[in-house]
Amino acid sequence: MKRILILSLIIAAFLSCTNSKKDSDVVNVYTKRHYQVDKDLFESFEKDFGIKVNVVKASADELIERIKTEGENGPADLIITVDAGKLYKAANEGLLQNIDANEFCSNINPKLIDVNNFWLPITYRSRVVVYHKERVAPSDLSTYDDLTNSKWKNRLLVRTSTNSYNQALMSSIVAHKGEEYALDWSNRIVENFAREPKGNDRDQVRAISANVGDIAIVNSYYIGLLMSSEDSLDRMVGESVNVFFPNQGVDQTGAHVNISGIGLLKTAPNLNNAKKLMKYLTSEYAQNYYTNNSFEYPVNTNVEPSTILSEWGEFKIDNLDLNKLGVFRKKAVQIFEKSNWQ
Amino acid sequence: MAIIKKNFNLILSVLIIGIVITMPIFFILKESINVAYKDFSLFASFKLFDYFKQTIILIILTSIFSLIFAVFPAYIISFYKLRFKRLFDILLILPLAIPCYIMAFTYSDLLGFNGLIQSTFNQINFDVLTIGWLSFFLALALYPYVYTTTRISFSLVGSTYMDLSKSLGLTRFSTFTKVLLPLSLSGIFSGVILIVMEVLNEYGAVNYFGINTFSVGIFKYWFSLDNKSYAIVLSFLLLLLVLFFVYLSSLLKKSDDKLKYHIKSGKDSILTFQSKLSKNFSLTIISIPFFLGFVIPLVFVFSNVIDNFFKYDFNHLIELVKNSLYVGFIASFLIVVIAFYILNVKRVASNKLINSIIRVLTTGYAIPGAVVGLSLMLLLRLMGDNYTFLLGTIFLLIYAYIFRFMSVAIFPIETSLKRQPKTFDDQAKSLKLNSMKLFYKITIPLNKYALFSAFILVFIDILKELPVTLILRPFNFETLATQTYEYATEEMLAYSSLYSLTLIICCSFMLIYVSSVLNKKNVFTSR
Repeated sequence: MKRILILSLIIAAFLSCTNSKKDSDVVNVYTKRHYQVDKDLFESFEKDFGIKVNVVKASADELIERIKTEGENGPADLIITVDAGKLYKAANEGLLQNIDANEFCSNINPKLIDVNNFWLPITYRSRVVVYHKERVAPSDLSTYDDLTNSKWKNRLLVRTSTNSYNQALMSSIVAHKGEEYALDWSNRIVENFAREPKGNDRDQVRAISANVGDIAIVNSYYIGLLMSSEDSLDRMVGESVNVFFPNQGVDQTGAHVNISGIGLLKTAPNLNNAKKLMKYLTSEYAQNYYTNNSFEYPVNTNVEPSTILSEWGEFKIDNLDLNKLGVFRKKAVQIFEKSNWQ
Repeated sequence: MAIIKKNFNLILSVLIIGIVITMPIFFILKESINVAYKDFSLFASFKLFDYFKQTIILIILTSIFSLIFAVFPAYIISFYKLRFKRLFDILLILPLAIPCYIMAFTYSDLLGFNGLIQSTFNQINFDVLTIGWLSFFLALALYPYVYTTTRISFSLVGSTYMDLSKSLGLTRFSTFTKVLLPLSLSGIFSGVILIVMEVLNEYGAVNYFGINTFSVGIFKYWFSLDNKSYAIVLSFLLLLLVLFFVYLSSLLKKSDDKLKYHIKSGKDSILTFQSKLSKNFSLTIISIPFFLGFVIPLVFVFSNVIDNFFKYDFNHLIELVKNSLYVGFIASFLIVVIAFYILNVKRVASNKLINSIIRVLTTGYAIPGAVVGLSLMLLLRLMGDNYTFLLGTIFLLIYAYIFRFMSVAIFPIETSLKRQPKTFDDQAKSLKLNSMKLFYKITIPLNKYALFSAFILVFIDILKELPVTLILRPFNFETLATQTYEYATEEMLAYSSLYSLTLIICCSFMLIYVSSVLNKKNVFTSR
């Protein structure tokens, strides 16, 4: 037994703590984004500034729990999420510090800036309707509200309500039109489902191509990714549909958008490095890199969207304060539950 | 009472180890009681039934498919004259090398609307994202659990019963249904329990297929509704469900122990096939699970690797392998040492307390990894600021692995220790060997194969582990599993394939190694 004990102790001694704290040339990032583009940009930031970017990737909620647990001595400097609602949640829990709008936001699309200055957007995308080029005439489409019309019965595809993109869309509807309307909308959307919700956004588009349904609610960049895919079948799927931006009429709210954004933690041990990275990710170089590789829209007003995005044309974006996507999140999920949206 | 007094220190040490390891369970328990005490209305407004229903359906379907894949091949291989028996034994457990989520994602890619099958044959048109298909895919990855336990219990039944039933004029079919199955029920069931636990903690694939199981419900309430209480109560119910299954299995085992007492088995009775047709039919049937569960996914992953060969960063691959092996080795070693210690104490000083500690230790396997991670964080917060530095260190990660995978080591070691006759201890004592010497000279050598296979099985499980690693890992720490998953969830299966291929190859080699060692030692046929 003794030998085993000693052996265990030796092994334990080998286990080194890998927390890198208060190191002058690092920045510690907790991120939900696990895309290749992010990895590339972090690497080029390291090269340009000599600051090492340490990364932990997990879901936004898990990261928030982790930051809360780590408390004042936590190592994290920045949190990056793919949903303004989660940044609102982090701010609401008192985890974020204010950022100076003059310092960070001069080139940023003003519609996407946080009114409370707790977070900085880095990219945005719209939750759009895609439709089959032959089976649906674009003139049949108009608003999110119109998707409840019985003409779409058994034709509408969308993923499950556990997905945060759907939750954000529902939050925006609650914010604009109230709970009662949102519940009614949700009930009627469920009636139009071509099948029970499942799969991811790309699977909805594939299902259109396979004639399971005719229209789908998806995020814009997935179409870009399908169209530029190396898989010829995926490209075919991407080509079989068109993108439609809802709610574009004069008196209408505009298409629902959400951001990927970055929050600066109150307890950030490497404040200056963190700020450098924030500026870097909204710089023209990084913004061009994002839009051309992940087909998200750039937030920097000096940067043009990628060619594929430009082909879809400009669109009116919803002016809603994006924090509302967090404020009404619980309501949104309850509505999904009530209307049996899987 | 005398036993307790004599071994007080041993029992106390097990109690302490047990409590330290199962702290997350006590935490869940405590929180659930708090919730129930505060708010009974919670239970009423709950959509509990739906989660319950879908969970049970998925469990039942997956178990049925697994039984289909496992029991018949185990029967053929145990009792029929067959060439390449040993090879089949190894091949049939290889699907265990493929993590559930890789199996599900690979097949949904292959069979989906855009996949190879449906795009090649235009007439075929079906939706693969259903509960039925999911359970089929999960069963392909999990049936080896049932195969192994069934195989062991079939070989324990042995020839005496078979010969007896033959002389009584029973047909082979009724021998199978009336003699063999009832005698092997508890063995088969212990494999099914492992499958049930795996299904209960599966999240990625289940969510992708749009199925509301307990683990999907837990996350919905925890995060989307920001309601920890609901989530904790669901976790608690999940625990109860698992304990129920564990209890069922212990009932079966009890009745089984009585039975085994009467079994005196001789040599394997080797049946021959009655016709060429039946032989070919049987060979086909026993090849199908291996073919669907291993060959097809492997070919698919492999062809993806070839297609993208020049895009990969092989330095990164080496780092991932290093990380995976590093945490896997340390955690598996500690788990086996702890399990062996506790089970030895149980051997010397068996009492109700120790037995229940061991049963509680085995439930960790069924708690979804992410719940383990989150409960650990809440627990740290409860313990105060002095402990939070542990978060993001390898220590906490390994602790979580120990909690999660203890049961994987307990099952084989427990079985092996049961076979070690108590008379050995007495004889050793009469030879004046002290208990330390007894341990080194007798217990360890006698059980080394069980320890070894427990180590490998835990190791494989840790290599495949995902949610705990995701939440608790240190900065820049990627394993083969996390990297595979990140690409797979983004539907970049092609990019993930090098990592999943490496993962599958590592696990396969270990499985082949462990099963060939066990086969040589005739674990399946030893009496």
